[in-house]
Amino acid sequence: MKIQVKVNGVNYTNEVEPRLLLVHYLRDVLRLTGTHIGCDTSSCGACTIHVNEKATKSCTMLAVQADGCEITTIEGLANNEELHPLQESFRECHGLQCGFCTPGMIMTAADLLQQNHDPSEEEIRYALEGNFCRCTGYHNIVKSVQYAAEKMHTAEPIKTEEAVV
Amino acid sequence: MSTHEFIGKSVKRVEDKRFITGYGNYVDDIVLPRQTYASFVRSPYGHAKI
Repeated sequence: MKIQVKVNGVNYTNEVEPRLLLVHYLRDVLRLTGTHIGCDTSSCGACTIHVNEKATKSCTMLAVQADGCEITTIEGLANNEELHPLQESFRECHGLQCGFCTPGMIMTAADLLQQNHDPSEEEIRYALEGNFCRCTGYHNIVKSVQYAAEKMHTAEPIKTEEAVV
Repeated sequence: MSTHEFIGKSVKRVEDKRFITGYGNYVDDIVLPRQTYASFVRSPYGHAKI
């Protein structure tokens, strides 16, 4: 079947098997290997990407279901050389060790921060419940999300002030 | 000027940049020419004859 998708701002048209999972399409066809496969059963969240701006586990979706969609993967989150505040904060707060779960964690957290600019610790933990990390014990991951929220929060009013002036 | 550049300070990891941008390059991300794959099938029977 023919599908047309926009991934990280680039349009792709490919002929794919109807049974092909979206995560395999991204990894094997487009060679975007930043999206990982941890469990293949939609439990671990390592394959989380954004489909039309919504955090989605790409191993739970067929490539053909993404036809016509806009997709963002971890490779497309940074704005050229400028890292996303979450990417910065994970580094700053030691939110990763082996890094395997990190792309999924960051993509899920990015969706959370889109909807909730100032989440509580409880809300962060609830949002990340579908993402497993076997290294960090989650403490520094939660700290990273709080740090990024704060940074994005404090960055915003400055922009609006500038706009008013 | 301090001679202790790293002592008593939080040091950023050099490997983090590639992990947070999706370029970690784990074993499963590597594709080589004529690459082969292995999978292990373990016996469900203990001390059995093959």
